[in-house]
Amino acid sequence: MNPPQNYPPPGYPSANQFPPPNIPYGQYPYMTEDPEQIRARWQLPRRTHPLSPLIKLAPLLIAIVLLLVPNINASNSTTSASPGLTFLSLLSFFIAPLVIALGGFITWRFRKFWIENGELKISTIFISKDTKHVKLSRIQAVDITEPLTARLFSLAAVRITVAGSSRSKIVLAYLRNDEAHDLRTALLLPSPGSDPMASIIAQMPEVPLIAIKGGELVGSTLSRIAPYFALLTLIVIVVIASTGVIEVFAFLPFSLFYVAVLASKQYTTWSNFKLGTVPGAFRLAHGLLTLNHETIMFNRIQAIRVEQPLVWRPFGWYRVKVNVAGLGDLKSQNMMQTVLFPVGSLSQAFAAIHAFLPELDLENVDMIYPPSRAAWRAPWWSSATSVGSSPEAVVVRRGRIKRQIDIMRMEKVQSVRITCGPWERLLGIGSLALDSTPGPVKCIARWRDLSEARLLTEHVAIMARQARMQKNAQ
Amino acid sequence: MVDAFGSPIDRPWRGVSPRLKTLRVIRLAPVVTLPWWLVSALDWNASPILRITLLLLGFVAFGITFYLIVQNYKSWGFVERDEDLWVMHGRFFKKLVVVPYGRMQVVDLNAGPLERALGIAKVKLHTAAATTDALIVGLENAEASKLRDRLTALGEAMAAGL
Repeated sequence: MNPPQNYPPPGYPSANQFPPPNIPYGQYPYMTEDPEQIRARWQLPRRTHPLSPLIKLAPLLIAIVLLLVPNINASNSTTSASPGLTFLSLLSFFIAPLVIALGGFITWRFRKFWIENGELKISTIFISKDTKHVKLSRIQAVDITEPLTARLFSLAAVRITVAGSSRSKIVLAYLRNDEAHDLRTALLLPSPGSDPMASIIAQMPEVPLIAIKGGELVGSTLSRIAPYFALLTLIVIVVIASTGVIEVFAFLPFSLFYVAVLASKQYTTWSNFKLGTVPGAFRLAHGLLTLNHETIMFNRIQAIRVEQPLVWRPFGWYRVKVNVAGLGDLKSQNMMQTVLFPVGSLSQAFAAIHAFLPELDLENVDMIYPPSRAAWRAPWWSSATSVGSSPEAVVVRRGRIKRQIDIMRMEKVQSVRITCGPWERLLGIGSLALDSTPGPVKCIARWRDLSEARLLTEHVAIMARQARMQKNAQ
Repeated sequence: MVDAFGSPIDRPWRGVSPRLKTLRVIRLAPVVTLPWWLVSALDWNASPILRITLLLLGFVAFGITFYLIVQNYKSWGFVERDEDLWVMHGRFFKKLVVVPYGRMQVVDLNAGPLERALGIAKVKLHTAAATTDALIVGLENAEASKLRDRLTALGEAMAAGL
């Protein structure tokens, strides 16, 4: 529950404290540079780094080399048979990449971007002219990724999420690492109508909150796949024992490989995980091969889930997921942004939540359990489900196998529902659901006493309204 | 003891148009009377016992359906409060939704051909949550459009940021 020592450091505003409005912009203690200077650096049209087309092509080149080498070997042995074929295949192997490389080069050569009049402009002038204007005030997030090939040259890609329009991101790849961070600052600087908070966050150095040790990540990943592997082994042994077909054994390494691929993805994505805060936002940095820098704004977090799969219980590991407004549909690229904290102790999980909901004392929320008659409806599960509320949030704890704590922020409640089937109504119980934006967190308290559910509904309606008004007043 | 699905204090539930029953009877009649159609449509040499059973089955099915339609019609209720809208429905599977005006994003008014012929419409409220599912069916046309306009105005006036 306790945040790490020296958090926040002396003189640094605490994370939930938005920059006080009476400090004029530019005089903020951690502001290092005049915003105009930063903006001025990006006023002239410029290209991405000259190595960009090469780096974008790198995976393709590697693939071609891998394909070519066995092909040459094969053609050596059959040279006399069909020399023409070898020539043709070599030609196709070289010409295809050349054409693609030329395309990449042209894109790089004729594509320029700059910031002007509060807009990011990206123009491609080659045969026809194509200019894209993005209002800076519509930019929702700027993330920086460093794929392995780009990291070799200290280059990074800037990914820009724009509100409304298209769901795809604008990617500017590649820029020098320091340039990428500078561009991010420039993009998030205040322009008329933008969120003033974002600009300050853009320049603030982050305060480290949590770092994950490599061992925990390896252990948590292995423990998640171990049960599947054990099950597979058991099936194989049973099959061998019952049929005597030893060859089934060959199935094992194959399935192990499949599981290992899944696990390694989990591992490479979340390696070197560091969670830090700046006022009003989380900063996440993680990745083994591709480095990711993400920002999750506090006021866009709708609901939080702390969860513990069964296999993590002996180790006391937990993971934190969040619903973030405006992520749109949850495709794979967005799934990453719903994980606030991939694995760690409960106190670390609570520290992350504490960083942006400091008033919520999770350990001291009065939790109410379903009435004992709910056992007629859900004998094993009902006694593990409890609900509690505080002025900041509604908290639901549930789960016998996979334990979880769902936290719905009071000012973010979309609507409240009570539902009740015929059997439940005989028992006088029903479910209470708090609706949130699409995401991994679903806040549903089941098998509540009906009168209590109704009182809680009215309570939430009032508290949520107060919380919203408070937010609006700020 | 509080009635979990009772109306808010001092605000009785407002019901929906009785033409909702007509709509549903027209929609469901062809389905529940299927045994009758079978009997009359097929000139088959089935035993009279089977034919009578089918007919009785049709009667019973229609009776039950009609009962359910009436019960469901009676169960619908909604209340506009100062800050939020309450919608309740369901006789056996009960459901109560409370939607604050500040959270409404879109208010849909729509009516199918049959509903238009009967002069009724349904109003659906959308919030940023996909699960909200606040729907009022069988409102008289005039009432539905008035409700839509009121809700839209209130939603705009009280809109809260995500």
